[in-house]
Amino acid sequence: MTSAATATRPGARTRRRSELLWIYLFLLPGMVLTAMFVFYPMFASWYFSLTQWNGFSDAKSFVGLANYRELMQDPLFWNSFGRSMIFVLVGVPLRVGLALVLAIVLNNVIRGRLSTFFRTVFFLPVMAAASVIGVVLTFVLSPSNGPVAFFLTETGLTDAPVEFLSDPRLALWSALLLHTWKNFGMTLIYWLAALQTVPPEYYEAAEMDGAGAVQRLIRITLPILLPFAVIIIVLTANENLHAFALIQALTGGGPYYSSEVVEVYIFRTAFAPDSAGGVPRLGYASAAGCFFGLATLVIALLQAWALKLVADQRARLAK
Amino acid sequence: MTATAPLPALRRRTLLGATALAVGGLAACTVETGGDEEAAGGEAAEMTFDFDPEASESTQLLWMDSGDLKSVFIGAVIDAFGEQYPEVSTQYDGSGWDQVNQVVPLGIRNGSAPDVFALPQNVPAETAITEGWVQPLDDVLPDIDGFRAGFPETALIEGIHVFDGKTYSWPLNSTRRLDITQYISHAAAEAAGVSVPVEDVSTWDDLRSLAQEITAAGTPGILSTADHLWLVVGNLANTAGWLGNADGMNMKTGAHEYSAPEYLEALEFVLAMIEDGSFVPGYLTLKDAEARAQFPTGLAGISLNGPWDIAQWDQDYPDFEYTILPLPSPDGGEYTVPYQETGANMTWLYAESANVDAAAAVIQYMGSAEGQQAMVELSGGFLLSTIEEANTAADPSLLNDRAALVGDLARQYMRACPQFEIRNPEAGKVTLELQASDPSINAVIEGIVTGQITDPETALADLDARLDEEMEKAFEAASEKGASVDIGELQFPNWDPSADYTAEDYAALEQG
Repeated sequence: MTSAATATRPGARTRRRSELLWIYLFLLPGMVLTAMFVFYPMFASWYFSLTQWNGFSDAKSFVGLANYRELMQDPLFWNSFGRSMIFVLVGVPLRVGLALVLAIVLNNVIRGRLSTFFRTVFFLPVMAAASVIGVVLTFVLSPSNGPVAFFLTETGLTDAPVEFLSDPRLALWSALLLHTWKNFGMTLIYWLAALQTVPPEYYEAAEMDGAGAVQRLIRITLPILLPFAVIIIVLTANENLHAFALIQALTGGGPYYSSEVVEVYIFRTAFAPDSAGGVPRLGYASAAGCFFGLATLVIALLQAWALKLVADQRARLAK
Repeated sequence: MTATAPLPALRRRTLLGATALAVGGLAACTVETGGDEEAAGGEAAEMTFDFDPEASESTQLLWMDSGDLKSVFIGAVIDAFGEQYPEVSTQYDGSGWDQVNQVVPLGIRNGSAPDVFALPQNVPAETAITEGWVQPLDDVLPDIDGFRAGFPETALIEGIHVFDGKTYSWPLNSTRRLDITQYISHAAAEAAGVSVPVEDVSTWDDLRSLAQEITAAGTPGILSTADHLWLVVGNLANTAGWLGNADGMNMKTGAHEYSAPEYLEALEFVLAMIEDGSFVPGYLTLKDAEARAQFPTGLAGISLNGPWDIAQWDQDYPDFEYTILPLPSPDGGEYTVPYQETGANMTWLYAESANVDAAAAVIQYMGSAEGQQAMVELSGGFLLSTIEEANTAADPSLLNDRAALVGDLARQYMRACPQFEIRNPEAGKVTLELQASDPSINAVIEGIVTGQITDPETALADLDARLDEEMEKAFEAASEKGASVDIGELQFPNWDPSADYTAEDYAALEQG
């Protein structure tokens, strides 16, 4: 008897329906929560972006695409958008690349307790809240009395304290490096997990064929890791686009917007009281958020396309 | 333009202090923003409240605001009320602006807001009223007429405290308080060979050379932060004759004047001191609270900040010696600083409060002459009342000497400038329409001192134009919505900056 015939049995159908019911029942809480805390805010933001609204009053004036038109002409927005892109275009290769190298070292070279120790050490910053790390680092990097300034000047490495966070030429790069350090452990764990999928027999066979470490890396490890790389890059890019807490605590986007990424821009426009006076502009900030969301969606789609290309290539090779 | 001093001031003590701050940040991650109750003043006379527990349904009184120096007074009043009426449970939560900004809107939405609260910083009073967050005091205070009559004629302002003829709030204390004063560390001055107390820093050149001497002796000369550097420039500009108020507007012309020659002169002076390397390294990332906490440990020689630092220094560093001097002027000449007497630290009665009787009794006391005198005494004189009699009646033995000094300086140098809000009761409708203009003045100043803006005059002229344009738009929008306002009402041609602008001046303006 064929399986299709089995599936048409009334008893099987009832069982299947019952299973589906349970599945949907278990999915329901998650779906409700997702609808409340993901989809509703998302759709509400789109609506708010078409209004002039301060976020507090009931009165919202529908202004159509006026917020978007203003946004397109706002140099402060585009500058912050550019900085967010720097976080992706520079920060992602930096973190993904360094984490891959370290993961290979921890997986293949350093073994035992020492490997566990290093994994823990690199993962610890991930566990700490970004805002707390940011506050503490402002003290650590303080040019007036921070230990880093003390070390650099006492050892003669620099004549004067380096203004890591208050020099507009350094602030963004300092924040980027600190963000990379803070989240490095997460990318490392992704790579270590991916490395576990490489069958040890491949290495053994390659060794028997006389392949050296570099050849094993290039011919075996990296091709197997390639599909994971796409996913890791997507995840890392997503993290790098969400650097609000750390940057807000480190520099608040300053000095003079030099480290302001889009999230900080949105926050400042939507909520932050400022000496500029005036009321908050939640509608305008929503437009910035929606536009930025679309832009990141394009990035994600590009990465999905890359993932598909890799999968197709692997399928062709498998044939 | 980010030249900084070398780091000879990095002593073990300051390093340990910074480390302790870092550990403190990890442990608590909260930042206090002002004075402290223990440091301020003494005890005031017994408090009396117009409250009958038998006739009231009040069972509790929850009060929330930003805390700081006023908590010494408000906390004491709430405690006294709770002791006198144990059937009413009381709680005062003065836990900072972050808490107020988050808790109050949430409490409003779910109907559990404190009975009395400070408005979140980004919620205009008009919005709170039109949204029904707060209720007028007129129908709930035991004696609203007496309450209103106790304040000076221009203290309760339509559009700030009064809306549509109803009183919603009141000025807990006066805004006549110098935002920027010189605090000169004796240790740093002595190390530079300057005798203490420092007698005379009356010209800009005096300040610059003192900062240079202190820096040369190993401690950075000037302490300011990104939080208030724009205020330093503005106040220095006032010493040069600039007539701009805290919003940068000259109330004679009704126009923003950040690009006025006096302002540019003050900016040039600040830039010169930065070029000298006299400013604390990293001053742009320093927060006011950090600067306040670290100044007595040798962070800098001269702090340019307000009197709210004194209370914390008195408590945390009682042995810290320093000289308090007003800001110098370009040539040592006399000057005045215009200020808007809107009153500070306003609180509002929750519209859905079930404990209005208790809240009203406490508010009635706080706004009375006795209550205001108690505020002056309990705060050691750091908080001054808009009711002058309350200030003069305060027991001098309960006042902090330094608070008295900064109070005297404020009276000597500050003059109430005209206010559109006092002139036109519908001014609040303009405020509600006023959009922020980026970059703001503090951002522009930051851009100039970091060298990102290379043409200060053009940038400030652009700022003036943007601010004036936003103001025009706000007036137009308010007029379209039916408000009887005219942008010409921002001009007060009869303003004499050397004298307080009084109720008589407003009347004369309308008659003229």
